[in-house]
Formats: sequence, structure tokens, C-alpha cells
Amino acid sequence: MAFGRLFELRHGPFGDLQREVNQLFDSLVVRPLGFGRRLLTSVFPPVNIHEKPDSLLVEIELPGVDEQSLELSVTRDNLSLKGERPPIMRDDETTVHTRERGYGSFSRAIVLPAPVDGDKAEATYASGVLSVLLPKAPEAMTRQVPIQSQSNSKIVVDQQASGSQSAAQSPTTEQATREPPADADSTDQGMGGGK
Amino acid sequence: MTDIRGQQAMGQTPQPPGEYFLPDVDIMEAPNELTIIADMPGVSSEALDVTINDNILTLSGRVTMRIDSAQKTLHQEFSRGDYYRQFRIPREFAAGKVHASLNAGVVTVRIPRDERTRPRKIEIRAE
Repeated sequence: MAFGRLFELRHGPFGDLQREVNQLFDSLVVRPLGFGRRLLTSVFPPVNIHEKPDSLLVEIELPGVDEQSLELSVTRDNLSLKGERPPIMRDDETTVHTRERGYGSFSRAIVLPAPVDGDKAEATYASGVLSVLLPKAPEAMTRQVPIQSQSNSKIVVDQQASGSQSAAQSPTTEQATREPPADADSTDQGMGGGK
Repeated sequence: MTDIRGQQAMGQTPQPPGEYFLPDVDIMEAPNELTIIADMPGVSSEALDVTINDNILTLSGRVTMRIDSAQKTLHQEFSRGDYYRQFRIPREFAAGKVHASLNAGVVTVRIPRDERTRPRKIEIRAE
């Protein structure tokens, strides 16, 4: 569930700094404790990958970037993203009280869990989330496999055998169940017949 | 860029959702205003509430989660959920003139300094 880690304290490289900042500006920040941990990684930007029967959906959290500056490319099994989150412009008279948001340039290469058809990829950027829909390559699509019972399949083989006029068209599996194909008409005998 | 101006901002303080995340914020103070910038990815302007009540600024954003039963999550690095965070605004800022905007999942709140409380340089004259 998405909220599984919600009430964990924040760890990681900036954990101590975070607490110090919160203590320093306790007067400004009303609720410095009890915050959830949204991110399960320290890599930026964080990525979620979902699978549907015919496609992959990659969601990338990138608040506050200009989508025109993003470089997104896809190969059969790799998605890569490059971009920059610009720092906030500030002059010498501005005092920074709290800085929790990150900025700078980033790049990520994501190995996809299934081969995709990159020509049909679609990407949209809304509310700070980049969503990339990647249709799977035809061979990676989920297919339903019909299951035949064994007795039925024998009859099917026999029908094909009786219909074929030339021995050259007979698949090898057929040959195992019939006489050598010198005389095609005689093979109906003993196999239950096609009709 | 969507603006959420005065009237809406002066409404009732929204209650925190049952479970929520604190958005990451930057807080900066310039001579003329206080700026609070919060990352709230996934929040659209209709789902965002910015209120000031009794000098407490509240940011509240709801994230609608689409549940697709045909969809299976293979890899997860971030969680989705509502955002909520409050700040006490010092008295020298004019809470009645708050201006908020939302752009690409980033909320920017600007609160101008109350001119009456602005520090002034006092000339010291020699006797």
C-alpha cells in the first residue's frame, strides 16, 4: 500500500541537517515532526513502473521543470531522461530560512522490464508528473494460449493427413502417426477417420 | 500558471487528511516579502487549498489516485498521497495580502511585508 512508510522518520544523507534546520526555524514551521517519507529512493527523479497487458506506464515525479528542456529517449528496453531543475534566483538581500527542495541537472537511464515499441511511445507532463506510456513490442504482449485436449488433437492431425494430396506437404508429426506416404488414401484406416 | 487569490485564501483552515505527506519547502525572506515554495507533484489547481487563518498558513493538496485493476506495479520509488503542512507567519508580514500560484506541481506563496513593520534606517545626527 502506498502509505506503508508514511510515518517513518526521514533518514538518508540529509536527515541530521533536516532536523537541525527544523529546530532552528521551529518558530516558522508549525509542524516540524511526524512527516511521512514519500520517497523510497535517494535517486532523482523517482520513478514508478506499472505494467498493463499491452503496455508499460512509467511515472516520473519532476515538479517544477520546463518540459521543453527535458530530453526523453527510448530504445527497445531502455528509457533515458535528462533535464535540469533550475535553482531559485535570489539576490544578496534575500535570506534562505529553509531549503528542502533540490535543484540541479539530472539524468537517469531506466532498464525496462519488457521490450517496447519506441515508435509508439507517448509522454505527457501534468502537475509535475511525467507519464510515459510505452506499448510493448508485439512479441512481449500477453497472449491467451488455447489448451487442446490430447484426443481432439489426434483427430485434427488425421484430418489434415487425409486432406493432403502430396506427401511433401505433410508435417513431420504426421508422418510419425501414419504409414510412409507412398499411398495417401490408405492412411485413414485405423485412425478413427476424419468424417 | 494558476492563481489562487485573496478571497479563497481567507477561508476556513482545511483539516488535515487522515494520512498525509509533508511537502518539501524552501522558505526565503526578502526585504519586501516572504516566499514559501512547496513541491506538491500530482496536485492540480482544483485540488489545492492555500489558507491563512490567525497567521497560520496552511497548504493542503489532494492527490487523486486512479486505480486500474489491469495495472500491476513492478517498481516503486515514490508513494502517492495527500499533502498537508502548516507554517506560522511572523506578524511583520501582511497575511491579508497573500498571493499563491501553482505551476507544474510547485506551489509558490508570496506574503508581502507589512510596510508599517519594515525596518527603517535611523539617521544619527551629530549634535
